[in-house]
Amino acid sequence: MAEEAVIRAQRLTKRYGATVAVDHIDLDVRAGEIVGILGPNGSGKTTTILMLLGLTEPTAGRAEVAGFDPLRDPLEVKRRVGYLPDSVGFYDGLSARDNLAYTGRLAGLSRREIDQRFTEVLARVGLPDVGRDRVATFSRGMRQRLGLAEVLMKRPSIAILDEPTATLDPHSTQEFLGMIRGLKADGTAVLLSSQYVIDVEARGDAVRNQLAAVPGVVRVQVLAPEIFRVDCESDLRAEIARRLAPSFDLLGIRFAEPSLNEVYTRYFDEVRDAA
Amino acid sequence: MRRSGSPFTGVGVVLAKEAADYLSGARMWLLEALVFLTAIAAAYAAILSIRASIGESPFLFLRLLTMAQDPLPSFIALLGFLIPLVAIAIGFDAINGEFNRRTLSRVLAQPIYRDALLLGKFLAGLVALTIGLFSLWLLTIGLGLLLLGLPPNTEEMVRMLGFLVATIAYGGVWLAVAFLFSVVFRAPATAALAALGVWLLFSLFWSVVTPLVATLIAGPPEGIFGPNLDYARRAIAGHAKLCPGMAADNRPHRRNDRHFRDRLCGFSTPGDPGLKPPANQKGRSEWTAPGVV
Repeated sequence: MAEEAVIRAQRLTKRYGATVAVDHIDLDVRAGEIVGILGPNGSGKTTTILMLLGLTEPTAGRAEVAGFDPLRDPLEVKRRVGYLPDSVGFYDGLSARDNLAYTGRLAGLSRREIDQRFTEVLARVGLPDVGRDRVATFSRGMRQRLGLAEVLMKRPSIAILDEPTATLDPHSTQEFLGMIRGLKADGTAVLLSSQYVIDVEARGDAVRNQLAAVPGVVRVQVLAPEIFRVDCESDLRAEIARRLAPSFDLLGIRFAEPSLNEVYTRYFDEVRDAA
Repeated sequence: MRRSGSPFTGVGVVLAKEAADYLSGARMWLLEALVFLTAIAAAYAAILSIRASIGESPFLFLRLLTMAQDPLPSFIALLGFLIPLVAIAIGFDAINGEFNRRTLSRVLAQPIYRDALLLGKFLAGLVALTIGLFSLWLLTIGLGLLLLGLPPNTEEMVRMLGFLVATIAYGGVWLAVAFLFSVVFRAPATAALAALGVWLLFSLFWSVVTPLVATLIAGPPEGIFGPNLDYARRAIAGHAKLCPGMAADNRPHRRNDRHFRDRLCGFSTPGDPGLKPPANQKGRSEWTAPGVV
């Protein structure tokens, strides 16, 4: 029997006067699943997320998040959902710890729980030594990681991430996507929005699983919906086609030398691994 | 649709964080220093003039608040002028600042209602204002005790406490105005300007604008005394009773006095059609005052 959806939207619609921001969206996300909302700027991704959080009222349709109606029980929904907004902001004058402690207290965590979880989540997002530093000194990538740490602090059953990689460089994007996969491994349902690139890990996961056992395949990346990049140590097109053909309609496989972007990412990966 | 959960969930957390921010911020320290310096100077100046009149008033301490000493205005007038400024400075970017820092969505994604955020921030501002005013109040009383050498009596203390509460409430009103504009306008500068505009309207222009509006609605004021016409009538009528000889004085300048008095008091002035009182006293605005008064 299929697992019950933790996020369910039926014909969710939002209008601002004559403008239709969201037009009859249907959505099902199950526990441990990563689902993406794709679309260009202004296509209503953030509005959909705000409706799921109960921060704006839908004009029509209904939603259910973690078994609660966001409109009627927004507090219950927000207790169970970790939300990372696009361009996340922090109180610059406060330390990373104080920022997370504030939202942790608002989320109903005790001081003891905050102390216990804080070190753990900072280590998990790769910021183990900056807890006492003021956020004003953080780079954009560090802020984004801190935002993810805030989501992790709540130990939510659902994580909603609004364009989490939009402002990150390619290397940080890959690291961040790795962290998002970590959320999935915890059994957290992940709903993420993106204006491009990440077809969101659902398709990527399937391709990765198919190619996991192929020797010489280093990494599988999702470039855009239906477009994947497979990093190989040699030309493995025939083997890849053989593995994917039973499950996917392959439109074609192209071999290309690594781009400058790719070299950049690989270089920093190797430097990090060496360290 | 009725939403579940308390609208006050999280108010305490927001209040604690915001109050700490207000009280430790450089902006608050600067404003408090400005109010303290000017108010203490006004209180000190008032004490110096009160010392000369000890024993004349049963409410010596209250005069600390109300007595002005040139060039400083009274303590109460100074607070009336400065407290709105402090309240506006605290509140003008309370909400739009959160929006511009992009912290608003993070905070509202936590299990609280937006009412809790607004209320918590407002109460935090009020707490910061109250701490400042309470310290100032204590300082003023202390200064009075020290320099006057007399303790305030119970009634004076009660009245001064009432003054403190009223002052805090006054600050709260201006804080609420600043909050309103910080919700309405996305740019903090616009919100600050709008709040300062309202403050200028009430503190400077109100006394200029209201008579103009009153004139537009109800017509020009009555005679040269305007709204004090009734008072002038009574005063002059009383004067006529005290100086009956004035009616017999027929010298030109005294005649004008008499005509004017008669005109105001509704006495008959036979033989001078130009100064004849109107048949209906309510039509006084049509009457022209004599050329020489």
